[in-house]
Amino acid sequence: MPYLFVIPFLLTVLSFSAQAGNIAKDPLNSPMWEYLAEETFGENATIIVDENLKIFAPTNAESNFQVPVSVDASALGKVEEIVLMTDLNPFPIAAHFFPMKAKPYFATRVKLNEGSVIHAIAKTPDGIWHMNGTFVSAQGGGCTAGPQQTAQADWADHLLEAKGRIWQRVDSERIRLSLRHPMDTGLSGDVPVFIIEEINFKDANGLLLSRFELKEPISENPVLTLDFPKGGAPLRISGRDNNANEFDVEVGTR
Amino acid sequence: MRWGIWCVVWGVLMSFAHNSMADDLSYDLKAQKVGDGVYVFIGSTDHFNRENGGNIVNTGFLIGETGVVVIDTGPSLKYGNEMRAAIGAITPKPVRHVIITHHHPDHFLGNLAFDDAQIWAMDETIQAIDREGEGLLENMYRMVGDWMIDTTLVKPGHSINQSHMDLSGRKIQFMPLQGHTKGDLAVFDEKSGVLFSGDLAFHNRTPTTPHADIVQWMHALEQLEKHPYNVVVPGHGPVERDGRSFKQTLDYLIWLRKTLYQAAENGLEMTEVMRLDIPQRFQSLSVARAEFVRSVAYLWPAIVEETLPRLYD
Repeated sequence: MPYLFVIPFLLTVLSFSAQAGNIAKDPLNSPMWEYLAEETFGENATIIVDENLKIFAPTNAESNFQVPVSVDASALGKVEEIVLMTDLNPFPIAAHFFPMKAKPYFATRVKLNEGSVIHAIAKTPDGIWHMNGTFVSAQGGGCTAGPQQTAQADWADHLLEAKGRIWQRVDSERIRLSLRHPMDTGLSGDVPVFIIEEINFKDANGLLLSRFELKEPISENPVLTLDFPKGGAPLRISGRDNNANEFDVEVGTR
Repeated sequence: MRWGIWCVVWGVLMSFAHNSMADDLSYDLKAQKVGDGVYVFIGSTDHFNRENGGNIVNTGFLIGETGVVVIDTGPSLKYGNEMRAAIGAITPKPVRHVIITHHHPDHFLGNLAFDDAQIWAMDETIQAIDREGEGLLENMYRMVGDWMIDTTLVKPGHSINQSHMDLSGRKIQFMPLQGHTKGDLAVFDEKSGVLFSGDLAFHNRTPTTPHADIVQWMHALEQLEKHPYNVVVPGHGPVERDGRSFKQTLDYLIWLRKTLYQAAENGLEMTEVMRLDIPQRFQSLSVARAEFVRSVAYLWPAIVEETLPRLYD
């Protein structure tokens, strides 16, 4: 008798696995979503829409060059990787975040070429990708100038200078890092692509705690906020850009 | 051949559609008398949208012995034209002078309607229009659409560098200030005691900060509060007589600045700051949440850079 119930279940599973992958449709109807998802995660990937994955960005990008976005995947439990996707940018992938010891949470700022859905896609250890998104309309409201892209003129004198701080919070140590870098996409004028590609967070013994990989859409002078478990400070933060310029700094609790 | 005919028919139809749409749009400006020979047009306290056509601003005019002095020209040619018609219904005297308080699009894009008059502004304002005018104009077309038809950029041709002037027989005192933008001109009409604050004062409407220096703005408000006046015409929101728009704007700016620095000290990130609670007394201001979020977008990156300590090896 119980077998009767198992048969429909098996049929469902079979039809499920017979499909080439299972990429959920985007509830926000971003025109690029299915193409980008297949391109990025492979046509066999399983991607589900998951409201437990929190993503926040303002509904209006006042400056197209500094659009804040935060992603919190804590409600998913263990998370292996979070991808940040700015769908309608010429280079859509903005970052790959490997939380490891850090909370599966980050906040940073991106450039937007036009109004676009921003997606966060988080991978849990079962191999499933969890997706959520938010729409940001670009160009500002009243009293707003059209933005001009002008990298700070003295960037070369301050390349990869770092600022940062650790805050003791109730259940975490929050770290904020700010780096001087033009983050040139390679799309404007005769300026070749010039971006920071990786930031690694290590403990005092050199053990890798977390890793953040940046792509073209991350804003000039990147700012990154992460949360670590308590007791980790001081941390060493190192990284490099695509021209092999490196940085390596220590951040402690004040 | 057929295609040619269809194109003509289509073109004629579209031109009807176009005209009827443009004709439907009217700002319906009503002049409000606030002093002897002094009138204002009070706009909505909302954001720019396709319903208000950009009429979110206060403008005004003074009737002198020999002519009319206009203070700010609104967001579009259409607004400027309607303003001119409304002025003509009150006085036959010609508009001889226009004063622009600052370079934001809702305050000067009606200039084309007054290009036969002398248009005056502070040097800082003229430079800002040089720098950002085209972008501001484009963005207005994007935001309010057809209301902007035929609007082009007309730069003020006369620079204000004296504190007092006699324009069309009206004695006017200029107060060159800054804080809302790099050049904010307050205009005081000596005869009536009407003080046009430009956007240094917002009344029952949340202040906007895209070009703001908050500390300078607070200093400017202190100076305005000390100045004698009978009537204050704020840049946005209703006219008042007891300086409450100065107090309200100052109160908001102090809270805004303190809130952002406090948030930076507490390690919040930008999207958390955008979601912070807004005190009850500001929630009643028009567009409170939207303008707070915009202010975070404009002011926060510099505060983070200022407050984060340098890291070394």
